[in-house]
Amino acid sequence: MSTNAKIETPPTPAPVEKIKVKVDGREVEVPKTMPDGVTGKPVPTTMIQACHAIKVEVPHYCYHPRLPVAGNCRMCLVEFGTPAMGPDRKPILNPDGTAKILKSPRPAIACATPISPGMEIYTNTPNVRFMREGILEFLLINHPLDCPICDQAGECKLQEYSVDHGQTSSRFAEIKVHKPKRVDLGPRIILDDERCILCTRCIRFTRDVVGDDALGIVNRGSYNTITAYPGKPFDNNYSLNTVDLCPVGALTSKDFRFQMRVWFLKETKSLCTSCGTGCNVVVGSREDRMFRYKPRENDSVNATWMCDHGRLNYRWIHNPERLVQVTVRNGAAATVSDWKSAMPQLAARLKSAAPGTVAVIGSARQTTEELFLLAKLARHFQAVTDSVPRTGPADHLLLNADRNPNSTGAVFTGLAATPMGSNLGKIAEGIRSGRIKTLIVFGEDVTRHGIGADLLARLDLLVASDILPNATTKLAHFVLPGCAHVEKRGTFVNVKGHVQKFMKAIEPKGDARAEVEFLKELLPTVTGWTAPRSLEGLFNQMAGEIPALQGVTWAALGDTGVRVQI
Amino acid sequence: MIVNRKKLNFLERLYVPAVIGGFKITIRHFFKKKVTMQYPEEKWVVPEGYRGAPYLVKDQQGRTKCVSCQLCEFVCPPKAIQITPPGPGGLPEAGNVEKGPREFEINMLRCIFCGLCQEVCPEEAIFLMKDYSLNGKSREELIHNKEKLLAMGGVHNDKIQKWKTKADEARQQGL
Amino acid sequence: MNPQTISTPQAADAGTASAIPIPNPLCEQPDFSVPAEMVAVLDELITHYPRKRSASLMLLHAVEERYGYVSRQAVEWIAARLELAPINVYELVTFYPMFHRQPTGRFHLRICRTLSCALRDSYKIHDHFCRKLGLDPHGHGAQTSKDGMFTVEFVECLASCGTAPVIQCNDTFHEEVTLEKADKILEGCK
Repeated sequence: MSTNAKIETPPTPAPVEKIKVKVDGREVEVPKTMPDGVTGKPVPTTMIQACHAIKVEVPHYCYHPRLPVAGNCRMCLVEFGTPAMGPDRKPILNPDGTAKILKSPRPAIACATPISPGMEIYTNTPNVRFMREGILEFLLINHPLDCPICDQAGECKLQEYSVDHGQTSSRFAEIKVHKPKRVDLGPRIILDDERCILCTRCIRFTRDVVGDDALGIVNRGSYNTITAYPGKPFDNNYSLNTVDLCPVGALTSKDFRFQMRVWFLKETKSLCTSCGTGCNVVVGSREDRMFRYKPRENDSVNATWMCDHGRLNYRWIHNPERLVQVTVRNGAAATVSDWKSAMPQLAARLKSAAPGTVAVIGSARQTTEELFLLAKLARHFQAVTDSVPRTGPADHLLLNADRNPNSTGAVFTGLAATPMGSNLGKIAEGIRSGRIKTLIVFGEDVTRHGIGADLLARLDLLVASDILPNATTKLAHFVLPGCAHVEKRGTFVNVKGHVQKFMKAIEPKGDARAEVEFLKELLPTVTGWTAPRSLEGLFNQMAGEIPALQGVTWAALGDTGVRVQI
Repeated sequence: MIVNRKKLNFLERLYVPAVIGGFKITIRHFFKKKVTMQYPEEKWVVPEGYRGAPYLVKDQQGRTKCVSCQLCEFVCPPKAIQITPPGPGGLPEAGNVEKGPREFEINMLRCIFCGLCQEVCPEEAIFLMKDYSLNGKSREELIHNKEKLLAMGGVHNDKIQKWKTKADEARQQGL
Repeated sequence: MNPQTISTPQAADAGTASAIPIPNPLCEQPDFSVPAEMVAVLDELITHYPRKRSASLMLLHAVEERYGYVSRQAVEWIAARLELAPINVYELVTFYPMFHRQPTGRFHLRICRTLSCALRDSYKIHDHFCRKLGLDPHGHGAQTSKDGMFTVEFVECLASCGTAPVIQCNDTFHEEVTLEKADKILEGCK
């Protein structure tokens, strides 16, 4: 990363005292306290954190780094020992001078036991393996073993640990306890109580992270079941995170239910586009069809969560009405064209436009690169530019009132007026007075934002690029089909100035092309400026030209992005 | 290495003895039992364990045994199997099984009769049966759909009937 | 870019028709109301605890004692009183067997089945009561007779093992119960 001062680095926490412990004979130094996953307050470091620090995997179900510790699944039981202390509170030494370790006669759960100096943790002794086997046997006693119909199969911790640590066959000959299956827990979730292993992750998440105490365990013993209060569906805006949290297939998403087995899904790192927060996601796709979003960990943006609003807002990508053809309109007749013949025509038409007679409206849903290229085009024509603001109710966790994913990018590239949307009226006025004769619209239906169809009809040239057809594309002289974010690469800058990139998951439909590609084709002929060929090069060039992005490079963005000042 | 050609003697150079020898073998076969099968009038009896065309089966209650877990689709080396899962609604007719294939296609032009689909199936729903003579007038005809696969597969006499047992147990426990 | 926005999160396909609603074992009690003097007593009780939540069991006991069972309305009333989500109270009601989710009879017969009583034939007494009242001797949990007069249930130790078998009829304790004595207890309940 560059040393430029404008890139914000997360505030370095005050130095914490370090403790040396041994995990399976290897020494590791870990801080004495670590921030709590929910509150962020320093709490004593636990054995499981020490093990993770040295990349030793301790199997666990109920423990989650972002949730309060419950310690109820017992899967993380490990053996440990502490240095023996003499009556003088000094460590007793072995003859060879090393500290004498007193092995604890009983195991401890790694997730809830704080470490102490000199502690030795044993995660792979015969006893530990035997305990894991026993715990798994208990967990599987009433488990229905319906993996063939379970959506979690393939990403199920019960499956994984059973293979790694479990027994090959069951000794349980009695009849299993049956519990309610297919419970309609809420508008987006189906609960299968038989599969539940009662780790209470979902309860703790909704109570402590969301603040909606909606779930609980009822009944006793073998009859324990997770439920919501009768008549009070589990419907907060973060409910689908419990599906990700659920280590087994008890909570499943109605949206993803029986859609595709997870082992077929290609996972692509991407971003959620439904608001200005820009939650990091993983797109699951197979054969150019997108199936789901899952949140991806990024501590400076979304921790490991995302909201249901964003998660379910993907169906438009596979809308059958998608624009898939280049269309050229002459008068009333619209003819289907192709890129090869339409682009030179468009370039010629644009070239003849006089400076000052052009307006450019770029959506704050476009990538920063696209907006940058549009801004280049606009500058050439000394055009009036703007974007369309889009707001909605915000909530206390992730959902932002700004529903554009890239408002900050639109401001950075200079395409958006300040405040955003204030130039729309000027553009409408310009068209009405006949001063503006050419309008370039990317990704917005301007008829819904004060530039009506009557005004658009007065234009000499209306160029529209979009994904779905709308009133503007119907009137446009050139319709250029664009790509959804999962069909291209690019960057977004979130409301806090976090520059993040996303990757291409699926191929665009029909003739649709990434906007960057055809803008790059258009620019040399119209403006005489040639953009770098690769997207990486384009980003780096843009970062060099935009003051706020000084020093940021594509490579430095990594998976989790870079924070810049806004 | 050089192999020296054996020099032929006079009789051998005549070729007549060799020709006679050949005729002798031919004539002997006139009086032997025929081994050629008169296919297609005569049909071959397929031995046990033969791996013919894969078909889907139903259980005794008439439910399609396949639950569309898609393991066969995953394991199929030539990618001959394509399953369409039922989607959020599941398959209502599947009862407590919840799931079943909406569509199940096996492309017999791709199938290599390896039997991995049968081996991997956790539900005993797909079997390589004894059909070996697969032909059609078009490529489409050799893509077997669910309907055809079920019609050819028939009923499998399932001894365990785990789903029925599950449903019965749940009913006994008042669910 | 994405012209479609979902204003409120939507359910996916409504095709999950086979899904069952959240199980509801709680009984309705439309006429549930807590008299003012009881509210005063309970509110005072709550102040005994460092956190309101700690009074959950006391309030549940009070409701159980007054109405004989804990209804949905009661759970919600207690939750509101303690500033809790109803699920927190609901969990307790389903956990403890001493809280009933169905209305109980006028006379509540609790038959001890812990070791001493079980050894001295408390199961026979339970069986006897059930047969007399037309209940299922092998039924699980508390059972109430059709006329709503009697509720019979097994309980754990009533702390009088020396005089087993022991039963408790409402608040009256009966020791060394025999079948004849059991009949007399039933008669005395009329």
